[in-house]
Amino acid sequence: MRSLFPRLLVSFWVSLTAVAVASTFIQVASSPPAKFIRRSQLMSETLRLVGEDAAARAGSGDAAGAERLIRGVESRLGIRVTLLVDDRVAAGAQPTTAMSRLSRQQGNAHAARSEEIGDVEVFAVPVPRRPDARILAEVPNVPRWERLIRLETLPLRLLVLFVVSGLVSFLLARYLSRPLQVLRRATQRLARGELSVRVAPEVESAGTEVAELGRDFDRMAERVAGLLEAQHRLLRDVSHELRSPLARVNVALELARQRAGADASGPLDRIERETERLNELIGQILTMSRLESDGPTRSETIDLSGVLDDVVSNAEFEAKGRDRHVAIVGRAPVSVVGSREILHRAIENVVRNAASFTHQGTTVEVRLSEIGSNGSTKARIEVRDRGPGVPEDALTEIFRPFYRVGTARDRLTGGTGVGLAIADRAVRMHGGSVEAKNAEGGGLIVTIELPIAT
Amino acid sequence: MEQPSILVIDDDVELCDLLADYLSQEGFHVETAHDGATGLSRATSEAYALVVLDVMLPRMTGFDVLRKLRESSTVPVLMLTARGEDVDRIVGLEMGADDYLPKPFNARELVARIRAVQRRSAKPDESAPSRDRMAIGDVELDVGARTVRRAGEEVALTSAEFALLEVLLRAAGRVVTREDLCERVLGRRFSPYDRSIDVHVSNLRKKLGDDRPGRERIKTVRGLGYLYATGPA
Repeated sequence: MRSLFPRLLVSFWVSLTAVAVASTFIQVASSPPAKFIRRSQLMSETLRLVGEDAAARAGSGDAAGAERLIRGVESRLGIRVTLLVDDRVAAGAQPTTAMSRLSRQQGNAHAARSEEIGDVEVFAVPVPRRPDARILAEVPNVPRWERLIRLETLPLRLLVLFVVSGLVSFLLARYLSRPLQVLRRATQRLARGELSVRVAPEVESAGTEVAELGRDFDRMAERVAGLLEAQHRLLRDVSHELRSPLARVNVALELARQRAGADASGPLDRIERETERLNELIGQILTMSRLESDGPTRSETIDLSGVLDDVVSNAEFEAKGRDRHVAIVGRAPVSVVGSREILHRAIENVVRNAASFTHQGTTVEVRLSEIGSNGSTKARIEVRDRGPGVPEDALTEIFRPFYRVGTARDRLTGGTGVGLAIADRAVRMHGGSVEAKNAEGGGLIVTIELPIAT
Repeated sequence: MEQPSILVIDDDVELCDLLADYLSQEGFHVETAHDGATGLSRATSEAYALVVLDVMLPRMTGFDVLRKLRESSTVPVLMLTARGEDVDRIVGLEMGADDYLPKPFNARELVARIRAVQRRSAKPDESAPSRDRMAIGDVELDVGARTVRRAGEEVALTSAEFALLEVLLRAAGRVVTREDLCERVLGRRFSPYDRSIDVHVSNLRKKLGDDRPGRERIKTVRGLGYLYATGPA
């Protein structure tokens, strides 16, 4: 039991049941047997009346009548009764040792006596107005605890105890564990990047400490969101502001070309290449920060196969000049919902990345398939290159902006270091995932999975 | 020969000055406007060979200017769009811009685009006027007068759309590749990820309407290009 709720539930339940059982035993052990006293008195009175009647019959010579009376009482009540006159049995059964002993103990006293001996209770009751007669009885006794527990209703009471304590435990456990679950879910969502998640209204009712914890959580989430937002805004603003000077540099560069001699063209070309690289980088950063801040702008049904055709034919066009190729090796007719523009770019970035790393003379293989059973089907795009692959510990890092596996090689292929990060964010924005793994036999496989449109 | 006059609408004054300097060296006369409203009134009141319009203008955006401008004028417009905002350039083309250039741009590229726009909007010489009228179905294109009529009614096309229709009509019934269209219509090499031709085709389809219900005049040939449908199919 790893989860809090069942643990709380079971411990409450066990302790409630234990308390109920323990208190019952304490009650049995300590409470005065009130009913028992009344029963003894009742029995004494009954015996006194029976004794009076029986002694009267015996006294008037009707021994058989006395015997009938006593035997009748014995059989009706299920007890053993003896009428003694002058310490001899006048009617009824022979007294047991316990009865005889009690009779001797009573002597000539006028009060009735009773005594519990083992599982029987014996009575010695004097007969009124007949000092020579007394009546003895032995009554089978139900033990005290057995009477209090009352075996005949025990299962029903246990059931009620079980259900009631279970219900109480359930409510209590839920009351205590729910706010923690709310907090836990919120934390998980925050970790997934949902910075807008807040919990205070949900846990407000759960007691001071938890409510306070909820408010702390909200403050923390707000602060994290604020910091991230500030970081994105800074990056975006800087990139934006870099554009205007760059635009001027570009024009000034051409002016310089117009006026400078031919021997200046080398450095000027260099300036042009570097500003172009800056341009590219700024564009990518802006795209990425837009993906981070907004959701998808348009929602349409997109035929992935068509998007792949487009991406692959464009990439092939670019790659064939460098003796590398890109081809679709498998496809399925699947559609997803989202922004065509953004998904196009995501897939394009992955394919372009593969095309730039694959070795000369090899082909990047792109495969589109449908996976999963009904209910949770996904579109899967696999892009496999025949390049050097990526060190195992960098497989997730490559989706981080500006992460570089090897600086020198990246320079040669001209990547800006943001392409895969953009792809990752774009796909996650569409509820999908991107993963990279090294292929058997060399090369990298990047897998994009997207939920299919229903 | 008189220098072609270009209006640059951009709020970056220094950039405008640099451009004026540079473009005049390339043989253009440049006038500048630094906000949308001024730019719009100048563009509608004077005759320019071309308008270079920045999307990001304070108050009245480049899109607003373009929309207003297109209500009364078919002057060629080259949009300067923000890099990284791919939606902008599609929107610009959809609203009737002739071409776009992501900003910051390469100045030589700008000149090349300006020249390309000029070439296709320039009136061809008067020779052989009879050959330069084409009609397929109810669509009639007059190269000399640079007009297009559909069922006798004139359809206002931008220079890019006109050039595109001209190429497609000349090759009616045959597939013209996107690469080909890009070179012949926009005057530049086709680059992958360039959707300009597709947007122009889409605009043209909208303006011309269906040939008959449910049938496009201009058909997409997937992975290849476009073709202008001839005759009943």
